[in-house]
Amino acid sequence: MKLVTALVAIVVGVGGIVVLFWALNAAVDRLLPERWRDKARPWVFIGPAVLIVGIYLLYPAVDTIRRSFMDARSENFVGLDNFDWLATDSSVREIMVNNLLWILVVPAVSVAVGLAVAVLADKLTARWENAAKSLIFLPMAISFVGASTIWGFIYAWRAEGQPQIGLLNAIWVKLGGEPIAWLNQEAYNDFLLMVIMIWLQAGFAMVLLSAAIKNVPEDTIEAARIDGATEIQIFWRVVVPQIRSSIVVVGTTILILVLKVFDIILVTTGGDFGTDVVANRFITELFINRHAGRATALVVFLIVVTIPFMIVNIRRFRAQEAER
Amino acid sequence: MTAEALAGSKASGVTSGGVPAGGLGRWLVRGALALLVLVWTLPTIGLLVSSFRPQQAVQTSGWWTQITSPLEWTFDSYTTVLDGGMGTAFVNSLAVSIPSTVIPILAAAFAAYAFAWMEFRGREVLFVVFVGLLVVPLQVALTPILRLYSSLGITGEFLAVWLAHTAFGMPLAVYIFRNYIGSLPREVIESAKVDGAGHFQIFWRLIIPLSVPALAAYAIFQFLWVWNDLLVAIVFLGGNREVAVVTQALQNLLGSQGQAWHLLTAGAFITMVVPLIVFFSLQRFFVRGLTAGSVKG
Amino acid sequence: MGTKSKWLRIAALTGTMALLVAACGDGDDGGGGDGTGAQTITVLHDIGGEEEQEALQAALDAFEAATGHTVQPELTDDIATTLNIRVDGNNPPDVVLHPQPGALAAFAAEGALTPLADVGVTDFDGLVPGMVETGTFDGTVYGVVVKAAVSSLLWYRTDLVDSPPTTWDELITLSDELVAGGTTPWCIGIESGGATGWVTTNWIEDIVLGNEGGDGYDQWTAGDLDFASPEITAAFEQAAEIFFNEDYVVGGTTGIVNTPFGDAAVPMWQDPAACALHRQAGFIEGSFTGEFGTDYNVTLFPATDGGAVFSGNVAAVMTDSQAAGQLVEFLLSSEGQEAWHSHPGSGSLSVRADFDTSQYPSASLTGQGELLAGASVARFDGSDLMPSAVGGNAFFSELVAWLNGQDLATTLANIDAAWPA
Repeated sequence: MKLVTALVAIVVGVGGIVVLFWALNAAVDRLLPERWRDKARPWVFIGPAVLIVGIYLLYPAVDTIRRSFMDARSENFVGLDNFDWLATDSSVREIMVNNLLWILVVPAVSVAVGLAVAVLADKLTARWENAAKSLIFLPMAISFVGASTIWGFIYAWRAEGQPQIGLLNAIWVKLGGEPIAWLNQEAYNDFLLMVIMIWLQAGFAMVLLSAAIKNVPEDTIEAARIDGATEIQIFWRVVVPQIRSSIVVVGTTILILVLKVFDIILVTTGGDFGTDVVANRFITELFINRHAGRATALVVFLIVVTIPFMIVNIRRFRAQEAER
Repeated sequence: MTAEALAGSKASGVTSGGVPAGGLGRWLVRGALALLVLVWTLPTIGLLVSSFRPQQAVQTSGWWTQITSPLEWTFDSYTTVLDGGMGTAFVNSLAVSIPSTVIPILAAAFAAYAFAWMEFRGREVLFVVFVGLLVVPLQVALTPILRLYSSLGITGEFLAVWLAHTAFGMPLAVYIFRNYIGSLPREVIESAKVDGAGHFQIFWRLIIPLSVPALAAYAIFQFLWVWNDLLVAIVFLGGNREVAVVTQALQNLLGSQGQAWHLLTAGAFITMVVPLIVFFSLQRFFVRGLTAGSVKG
Repeated sequence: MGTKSKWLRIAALTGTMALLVAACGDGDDGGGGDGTGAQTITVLHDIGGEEEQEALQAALDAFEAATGHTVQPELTDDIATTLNIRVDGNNPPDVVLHPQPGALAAFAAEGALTPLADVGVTDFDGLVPGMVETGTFDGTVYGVVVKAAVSSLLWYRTDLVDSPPTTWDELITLSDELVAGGTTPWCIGIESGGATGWVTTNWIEDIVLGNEGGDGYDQWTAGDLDFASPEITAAFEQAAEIFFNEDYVVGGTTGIVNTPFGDAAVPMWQDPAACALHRQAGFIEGSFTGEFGTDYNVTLFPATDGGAVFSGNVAAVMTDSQAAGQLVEFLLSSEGQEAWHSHPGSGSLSVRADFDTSQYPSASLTGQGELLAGASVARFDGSDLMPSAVGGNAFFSELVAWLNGQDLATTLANIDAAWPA
């Protein structure tokens, strides 16, 4: 019975959207005078997306900007007070430095690993390629709480003399060291947390870049081979140029995920030991400290940070349109 | 095919006398890949082994000792989790995840096609807004949406969650598809137009089949996010047990004070099964020549 | 034209239908107000764990049987986030069982709570003193504790501790004796992901209650006594005698910060025992392998000077549902408390003074019930009484920073600074 209800729900949900587009398009063809059709059709195509994004994201985003100029409970305008706090509070400066590190390291390494796997696996037989890619992808399928448990088994610390249940300390102690509480070490604990993010996101980069590599026409590579290019030269001069826009897209996406990352911090250190980042602080300000003004100011900051990357993307798309 | 020709001319510029990878090169590739895969898999193996260990053993010795000096293996964690009403939750999770994956993909593909191949006023501005919204954390959207749902009375219904996930996944989907669909060769679309096809036919008969790798890739991610989501489910489905999804069912099993965290290990693997099936079944769409073949055909 | 427009109509109709069916296709909509008076009451809570939920469900089942109403419990792992969204989204639950009275006070000030008197709950006779006061804000009763647990408990191994200490000095003497005998006295672990540090807030609360009494404790939790005041500074320094004594604690201060609180007592049950003493609420017993009464026993944490700090869940009503009032009334009644706290899965204590302690499912819980009843003064967990910016954040995160090397003056100043204006 339950199964039937769910099945009906799935069919209705999936069928509903197909029917919606079909009906909208038919409406343009049937109901509008011919000269209006070309003007109206793009809006049929983007209409549903625009509508839902407008209600669910754009309106909240605009509201967020408004509330960033208001007080803790969004009741009175306070001018630039929240941004003043953003610019002067020393704990905020610390999290911004951390975020900068995350931005510099995580997208680059994730893309590099994802690209390496996509390229190397491409040279294997289909069965081995699938096996290798599945294993790199595996972390993505694991829920966040599961992932935090996993890394607990890596970074865990036990007192000297006790059996170490964390892999890293077990190796370290075997080599003659004293157990180290890895996540307390402010000098490098940020990087240990970034490893978790890279571990999770490399699969994302790999899947998208692999799809792009599969689209690189075989004859362009063959042509280079006939010309005597090495595999490495082929990669850099034939493959990479053809998937450049995919690399930009994947890098940008991971960058934005990095800006929004809070769960990794929350479940591991909770932002202690100097590991806090903007998105986690946003959650704290919004739900724990109940200061909507400061929370939304942090979001506005994130939006501003992404603007340069958006400009790069737009340029990229213009170039793409020019060359196709 | 412009892209091909362009790349081909670039490729012909490569003239240094290298040789294709021989035997040694092949083994280097395999070795490097094997190392990466091992490093990537090791943490998960730890979790897998731990899920078959008694709670006491997990807390007092490293998981690798289970392999070097096997102690006791147990299915207790798995039986506890599976007994906890997971069956209904699996069905509910599918009812939430499948439409929440298909709806945004279709809507985003239509939008991406329009952004890439149709002329209309405000195209670029609109696209920038779409991509810019990627960075908006969904937490700021929860309150306004819930207010809307409360007045419509649809909290606790699947529809409420479908639409929310559709919206939250839309900017990334539009962004990725716009890149992919925009890189398709112009000749394909132009020649279809010459044959008298309208945008709607071009979209269904050409764009969708040609975009299968990108659609499949995104489908995997959207499905994963929805499947593993807890926050959106708690907020919009509430506690209606009839519609509780897998993450909620698992949550119900775990103590609030860390007593039952060993169940997490088993729970993580049980909930992982469906996303992996999705991954493997969509994997076959990442095959070389799919695009090239259909373009030429 | 004919066929096409017919198809168009069908398509449009199907689309509309699809949305309509989806909107109401699954399950019942609660269906309140059908004339019989039976209603659906939603209850948001954070009482996780299979057994504890079964105990709560037993009480809710009894209520349903007695009144004909339907109760829909909603569990959340993060009640702060969920409740904030639900309240701001105009979709509050009828009843909330909240572990933080401080958060409820903020909701009461915003008008998001319904005074219990407005939904017909006025009779609080027979409750343990303090249970009603905890949910009373500005003189109005908004909530009552319905489930309690003693926080100030000292667990000790009977083979290593002859007679349990009753004062702080005896506790230090005992610790020194254990060190001299070759046993590390304490197992302390406070790692708890995003909430790391809350375990040590309980130590400070016990010491403040013992040193300053109920009145001083109340001033402190209300924000009238600063953290940087000499009294509270002294409490932190007193705790430091144990926290920063590397001989006292398994793993030293690093051990405190890095050991998950749920696993903290595990070394106590190694052979030979790696520690003899552990301070934690009753839930930790789940990780013990010995037998209560023979291998280990429990007493009030000596720092409290005979008092007890307890935690629990406060039931408050967030809508104008009279049925919700009936539920709160039932949960406070002898019948409701018995269904809940005599259930084998409950691990918590009744809030009724007349509750028969032999009804508790274990000898240990009976003992804890007697400790709470016999306490000279009882107060709710201080960090949960404070505004969540302090009690749910700065208090414990600054404690962690202190344990990780930050100086005490900075720590206390930072906590004071977090107090909302």
